[in-house]
Amino acid sequence: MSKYILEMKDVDFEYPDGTKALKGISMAIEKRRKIAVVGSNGAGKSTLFLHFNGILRPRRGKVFYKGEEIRYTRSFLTELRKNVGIVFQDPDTQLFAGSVFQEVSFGPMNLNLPLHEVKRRVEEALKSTGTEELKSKPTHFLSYGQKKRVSIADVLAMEPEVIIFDEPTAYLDPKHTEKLLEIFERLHEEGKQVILSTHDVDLAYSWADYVFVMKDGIVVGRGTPGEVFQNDGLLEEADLRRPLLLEVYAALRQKGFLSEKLPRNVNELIEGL
Amino acid sequence: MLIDNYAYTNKLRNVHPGEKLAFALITMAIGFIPNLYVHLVIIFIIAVVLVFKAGIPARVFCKLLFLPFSFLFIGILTIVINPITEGDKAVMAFKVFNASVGITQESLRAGGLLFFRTFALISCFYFLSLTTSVVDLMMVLKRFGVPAIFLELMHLIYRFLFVLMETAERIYISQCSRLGYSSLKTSFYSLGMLTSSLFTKAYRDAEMLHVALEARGYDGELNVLEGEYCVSIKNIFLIMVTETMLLLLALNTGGSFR
Repeated sequence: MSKYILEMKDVDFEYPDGTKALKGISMAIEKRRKIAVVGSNGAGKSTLFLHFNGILRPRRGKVFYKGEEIRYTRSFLTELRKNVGIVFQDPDTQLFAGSVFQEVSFGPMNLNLPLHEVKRRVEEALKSTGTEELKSKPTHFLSYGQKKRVSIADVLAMEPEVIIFDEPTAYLDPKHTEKLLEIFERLHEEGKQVILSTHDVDLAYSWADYVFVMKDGIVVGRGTPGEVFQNDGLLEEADLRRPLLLEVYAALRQKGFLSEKLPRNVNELIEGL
Repeated sequence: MLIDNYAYTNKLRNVHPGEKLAFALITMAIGFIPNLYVHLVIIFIIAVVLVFKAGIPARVFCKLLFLPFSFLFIGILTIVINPITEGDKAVMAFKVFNASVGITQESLRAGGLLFFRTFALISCFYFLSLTTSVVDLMMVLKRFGVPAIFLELMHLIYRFLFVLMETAERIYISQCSRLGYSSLKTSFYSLGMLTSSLFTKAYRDAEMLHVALEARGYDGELNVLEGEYCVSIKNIFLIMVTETMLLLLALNTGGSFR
């Protein structure tokens, strides 16, 4: 068994219009780690993710799931998509069904499960995203935050091992963002692999165990949040900035108010004072 | 969308859609019998069921009922006003060039009957659309063996109607806030831009949707779980009684099947 759950070797990808989205990407995602992929708009994060469940096929290079090379046959892809779920950025393009219940049932129905099992999974997914009371509502009645949660339930209902969130906090208010982080935390505790892409450096810094930095279709940096977000050269290259917390930490440390331990969140910072 | 909202919130939403469809269709069929009493009773029954059973505000139902009024009025006029010849007993007549046109008692009756029949049938239709959601209706249609491709199209069109409506509204608002509709000329221009961007947006959305569906194992069929409804013997009995009464009424007041 490979210690990496997802792996990519020298992957090139070019869209039909000639845009080179990925330029020889290699990355390996270790099991049970909270992974954040950061990068500015157009860095290739979404394209990267679509390779992980075989929607896009690399022009050159290889993608592996649990050490096994992805084959682009129908049966392999079905198996892969069962295990690697993607929550897309815009819930409006993901939700297609008339009612929430139907929407969430689509994934498990495609797995050819018995109906009572589909029902159980739908109920559970709705429960863990806090959308049970929306069950019989039509999709177009929902607010943006609700749609987002339903689109997460969509993927949870398939009970994948890896869940990829593409810009999950885009357009979300602080309260919904917090709820979302709770969901991530719970998924992580349940033993699921959570991967998310974001350009919110503060979120990536305080949440992730390991960070990949992307820029123009290549990985320009990787490491623990502490390493990555204190590397100013790297951040500048990737059009990102330092997380606010680290800025404050650096300033306080310079004035001699803080010990050496890097704070991961505001509470840890305050405790260190 | 007003009607659509009621379909999801009315008090009859948990009644089996098959029962509601049967009630609407059978009542509609009986509504074709040319009998004024039947028409009036149908309108009355539907109004009572909608207002008291489904909890639709009477004001809403009345408003909907009169929605096709102007359209209907013009249609009826052409039936009521006919060319008349010497022997006809006209209620009213006038000359247009050399022909005389007028209203006879018979044409008045025919027009009136058509008028009320239309209202009776429309109210049946409103009953269905105010109490049954498209999602539920599709479930019944599936049971009736309507091909999956039609139902899937229906499903997607229904969903994307709202997505497009929302997009159109957003574009419209953003155009308005930049004075896009301040004069006739700019209005035409803005409307054109809105329509074309709506098309490209629809196309892009469809592509994105396809990707998202594929990510969830889409293999050419949109299988979803159906809602669960209990068939109510009481409702079926009530429907049968109502329809039989309507038929009896039609027979006893001179309605004919011929």
